[in-house]
Amino acid sequence: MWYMNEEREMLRKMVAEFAENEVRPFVKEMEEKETFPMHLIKRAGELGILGLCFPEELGGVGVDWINLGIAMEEISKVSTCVGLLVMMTAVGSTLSLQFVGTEEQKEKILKPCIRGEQVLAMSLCEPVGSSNTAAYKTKAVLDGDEWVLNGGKIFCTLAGQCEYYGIMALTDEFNPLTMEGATMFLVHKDTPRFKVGHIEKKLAWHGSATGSIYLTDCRVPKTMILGEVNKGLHAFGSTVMQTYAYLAILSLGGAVGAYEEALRYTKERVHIGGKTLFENFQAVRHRLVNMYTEIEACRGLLYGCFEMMQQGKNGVKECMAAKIYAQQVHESVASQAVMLHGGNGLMVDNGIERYFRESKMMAVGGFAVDIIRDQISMLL
Amino acid sequence: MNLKIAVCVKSVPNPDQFSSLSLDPVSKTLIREGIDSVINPADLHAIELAVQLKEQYGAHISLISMGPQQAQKELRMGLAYGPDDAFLVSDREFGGADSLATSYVLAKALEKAGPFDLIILGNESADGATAHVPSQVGIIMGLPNMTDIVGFSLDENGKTRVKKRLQGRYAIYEAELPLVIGVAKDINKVRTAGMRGVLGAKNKPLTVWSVENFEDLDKTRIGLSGSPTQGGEYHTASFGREATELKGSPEEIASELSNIIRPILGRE
Repeated sequence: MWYMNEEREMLRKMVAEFAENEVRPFVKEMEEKETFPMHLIKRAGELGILGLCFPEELGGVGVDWINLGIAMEEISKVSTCVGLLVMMTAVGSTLSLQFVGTEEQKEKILKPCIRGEQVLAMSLCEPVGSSNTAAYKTKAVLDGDEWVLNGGKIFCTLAGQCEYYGIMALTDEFNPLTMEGATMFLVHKDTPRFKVGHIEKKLAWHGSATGSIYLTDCRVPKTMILGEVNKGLHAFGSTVMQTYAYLAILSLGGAVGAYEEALRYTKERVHIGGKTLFENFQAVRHRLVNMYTEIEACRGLLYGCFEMMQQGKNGVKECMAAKIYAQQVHESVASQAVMLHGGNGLMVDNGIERYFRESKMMAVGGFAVDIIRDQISMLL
Repeated sequence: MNLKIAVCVKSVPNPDQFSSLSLDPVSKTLIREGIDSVINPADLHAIELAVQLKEQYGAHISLISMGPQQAQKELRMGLAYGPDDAFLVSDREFGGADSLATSYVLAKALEKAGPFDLIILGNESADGATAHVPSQVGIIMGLPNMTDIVGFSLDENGKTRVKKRLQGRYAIYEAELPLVIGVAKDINKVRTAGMRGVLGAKNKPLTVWSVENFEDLDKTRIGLSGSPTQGGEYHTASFGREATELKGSPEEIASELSNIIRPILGRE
C-alpha cells in the first residue's frame, strides 16, 4: 500500500492485536446477548486509539488521518459494530467539539471522551427523517440563562450508555438555503426530564444500543450550545468529510474481514478428490479475485480521501462518494463470502452471515446512501 | 532506585508461518523469503517484566539484539512497549553464529552498552529453541544467572526473589543484582503497546554496531567459524503408517486379524 510505512505497520499490528485479543472474543456474546461493549471503548481510550486525530494538548497523540483510517479498518475487520462505537468517539461526535467547542466543553466532555472515560452521542434523527431538519419537532426556547428543550429523537446510537448527548433542536424557522435555524445542545444524561426511551431491536450491530430520547421542559445552560445559536448544522458540517470517510472505512474493514474469512475457508475446505474448494473451482478463485479487486479499488478511493484531509484539501464530494462505494463493496463482498461458505455461510454460529447483515446497516445507518447520492448530485 | 535494565531481543520468523518455512540443503539455514519477522515471543515477556519494573521503581531499559539490519524493525516495535533505547549488533561476520557465538557477541554488546543491574532474556527463541543463551551470557559475563523464571520481584534494597520452574515444582531464590535471567512465557501477560508508545518509538535512539565498533572482540569466537556447533545432515522424517490389507472371507479375515492381535496382547 502506498500509504504504509514502518511506523504505520507497527500501528496496524498494535490495533490488530487489540482487535484480535480483546474485541473478537467479545463479538459473539455482544451479538447474541445485545451487550454493549463500553469496556472496549474505554480500552481504545487507554491505548490512545481515540486520540489519533486530536492534538496532544487535548490528550490526543497527534493528528494523522491515515493512522486513524488504518486503526478503524483493523477494528472493523473484526466487528463493524465495535468499529462504529470507537469511530463515534474517535471522530464522529467529538471532532466538532475540537473545532467549535468552548474551553469548558473541551474540559468537561472532549478530554474524558478521548481518554475513553465517557461517550458523547449525536442525536439528530426524528420520525420526520434525519435530513428533514425543517420539520423537526424538537424545539428550544431561551429562558434566562437556560434553553428549554421539548421534543424527542429516535435512533440515537448508544442511547442510555452515554454521559452526554448532542441534541439538534430548532431555535428559529429553518432556512434550507443558509442551513440556519437549528442549534446543537450538549445535554448531560442526568439533566432533569431528559429520558431515554425504548431500545430498538435491529438487523445487526446488536452491541450498539439504538433508542429514543425524550425531552420535556429539559433545561440546558447557555454554555452547553455547540458552536453558535441557529448554526448547529454548521457545527456538525465542520466535520462532514471525516464523518463520511470514517463511516466508509467501517465498510472497507467489514469487506476485508468477510474476504479473509472466505479466502481461508476456501483454502481449507476439502472437497472433491481431496482438493480444496480453491484448488477445485475456477469460479471460486475468480470470485475471490473479484472481491479482492473491489476491496483494493475502494481502498484507493478511501485512503485518497484521508490523504486529502492530511493535506487540508476540501474533499467533501469524494468522501461522500467513498461512503456510497464502500457500502456497495461491503455488501457485495459479504454476500459473496456467504456464497463461498455454502450452507456454512448461513449458520449464525459461523459468523459469516453477520458480515452481510452489517453491510445493510451501512446502507442506511450513518447517513443513508441514497440521501448522500442526492447531496452529491447537488455538487455535480 | 534507578535501575539499568537490558533486555535481549531476537528477530525470528513469525511462528504463525512456521509451516511455510524450509531449509536450504546446502547452507542448512532457514529460507526466510516471504516470511514475516517478529520479536521472539518469549522476549516480549522479558520486555514486559522490564517495563513493569520501570513502572514500579524507575529504570532505564535498553534493548540489545544481534541480527541482520532488518532487525531494526523489531527493535522499533520493542521500543513501542516502553524501553528507552536500543542497540543492534549487525555485521556479516556475525552471520551463521550458533548459540555460543551469539551469547559471546551479546555479552560484549551488553558490556559496551552497560553496565546493567539486570539483564533479562526470553528463555528460548521460537526458531532455535535451544534455551542456551541466557545461561551462556551470564557465564561469559561472570554474572549469576537463572533460567525458566516464572516470577520475579524486587524489594527496595535491590534484593530479588526469583521463582524458577523445576520439573513439576518451583524453587524460590533470593539473589542480589546484577543478575541475568531467562524468563518463561508464564511470568506475565504482555500488554498491547499503546499509540503513544508506537508513535514515540521512532524518536528513541537506536544504535547499530558492527565488528569495527568493538575494540576487544575475539574474532575466533564469532560467526560461523567461531561456532563449535555445525549443522550435520538433515533428514525428513516419515510419519506415514504401514498398512496391511487382509483378504478373504469374513471368517478368514477375522482369523488372520486374531493371529496379528493375539501376540500383541501377549496371548498365544
